Amino acid sequence: MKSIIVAGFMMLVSGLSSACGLEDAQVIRVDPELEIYYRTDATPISVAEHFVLQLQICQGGRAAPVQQFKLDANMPMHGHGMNYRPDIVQLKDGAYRVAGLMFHMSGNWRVEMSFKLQGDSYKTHFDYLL
Amino acid sequence: MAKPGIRVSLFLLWGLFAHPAIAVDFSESEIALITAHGPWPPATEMDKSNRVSGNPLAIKLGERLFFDHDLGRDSKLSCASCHDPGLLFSDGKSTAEGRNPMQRNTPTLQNIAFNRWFGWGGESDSLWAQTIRPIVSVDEMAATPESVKRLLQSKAPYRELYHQAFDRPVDEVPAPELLVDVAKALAAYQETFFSAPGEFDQFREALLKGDSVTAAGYPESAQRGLKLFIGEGRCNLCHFGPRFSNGEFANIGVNFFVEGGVDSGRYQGIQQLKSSPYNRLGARNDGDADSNGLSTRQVHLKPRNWGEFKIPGLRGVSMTAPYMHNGSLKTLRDVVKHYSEIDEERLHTDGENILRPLHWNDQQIDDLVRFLETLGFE
Repeated sequence: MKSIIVAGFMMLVSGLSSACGLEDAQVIRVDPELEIYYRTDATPISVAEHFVLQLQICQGGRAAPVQQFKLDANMPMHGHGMNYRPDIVQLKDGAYRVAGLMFHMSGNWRVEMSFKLQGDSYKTHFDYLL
Repeated sequence: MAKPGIRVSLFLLWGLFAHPAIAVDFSESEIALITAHGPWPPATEMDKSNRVSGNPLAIKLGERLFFDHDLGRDSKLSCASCHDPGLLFSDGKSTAEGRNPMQRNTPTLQNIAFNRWFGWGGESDSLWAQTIRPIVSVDEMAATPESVKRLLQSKAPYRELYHQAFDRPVDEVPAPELLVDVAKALAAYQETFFSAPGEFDQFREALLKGDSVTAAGYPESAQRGLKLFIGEGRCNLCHFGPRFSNGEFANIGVNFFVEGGVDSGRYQGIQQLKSSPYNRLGARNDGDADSNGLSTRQVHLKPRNWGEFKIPGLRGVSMTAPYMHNGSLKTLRDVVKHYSEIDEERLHTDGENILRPLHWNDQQIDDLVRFLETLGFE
């Protein structure tokens, strides 16, 4: 078992080249085979308003059988997190809908995720400047 | 024909009077921050947890009840006793005085409809739930569900208005349920308390339109204060948006010790909210809790909530002295000085302090106060 922490190399994907993913989403490339697609229901996110995040984790172009998926957010410079606990619902393999998120002030927010996949533990994040 | 030198002079004079310059130079990013504080008023939405929100008959019933001393025990107090319309629905006192002295400042009800949370600790998640508390509190109006029902039964206008607004006779409604309905009518009335746009809003509009003539009319002191508000002061991090509040809570180093103990603010507020039979997850929500109860469902009690209090909106703030949850700061100048000389030891943060001593001089303090005075008061 290994533990992998990824800073998160991101790119915007507007169309899908494989069967797995989300359209019009940002993507974090954890490694050449493992990608995390994510998008919000609010573009842009508004200060102090709840929003929803949709994610799809793909391995080798297929939905990854992720376990123990967790997500939270904080402001690294201020040292505080959100005032609300995310409501994480799994839709199918590697696909999640996360509601209840709120960034209550402007600035840099870090969304942190962790999960297990085939015995390995992964931690990654992406930053959002509000 | 005028000589060339005179023509240039006349042109310069014309330029000076026809296109007065804004006194303070705002960058593009600063103008973007300024425009985020509007438009005012924003679009309103009815409270989906209150089936009579926006109902004119309920509003009329609520208005009459708001000023009726018979709503309180022994006809001693009405809602207006503490929420005085002449003081922007506050009372001008450090802490409220009901039947007994209270420990918190009476907040204004101006623009109350735009809150997500109600009470200095956010004990309620709807205006009607918050309205129930002072009606039945033994320290405030000390009414009971039975006394409220007797009041509505005893006055013909109340019987008629209630029947019209709620589509059923008072006599058939159990007293506890009637109390909730009365609170919903009072909430419907309170939702009509809006402040008009102020000088700041005119300035904001002028900036958006590129109308330098109107913008130049905004007091120079207020312009300097605005620059501090969105810049060095970082006030807009919490006092954000059209209402000048993000609707959440913060610890700003104000003493939370009270006689006999502590006021933990948001910490006990979340505990009270979660246990309240009137929260949006309960049976008294007239709407769909799955959609309108999200904040209540997901709010998370954390140690840092201790000593946090609600970030109030700043519209009309010049009319609602004294300030802070305990009314400990008498004037706006005292408020700005509090932030300017803040004691970082009293703040509980793990990272960079959002608040830090600014050591502003008298002019900077006066400028920020002048800006706050332009945020409307009627």
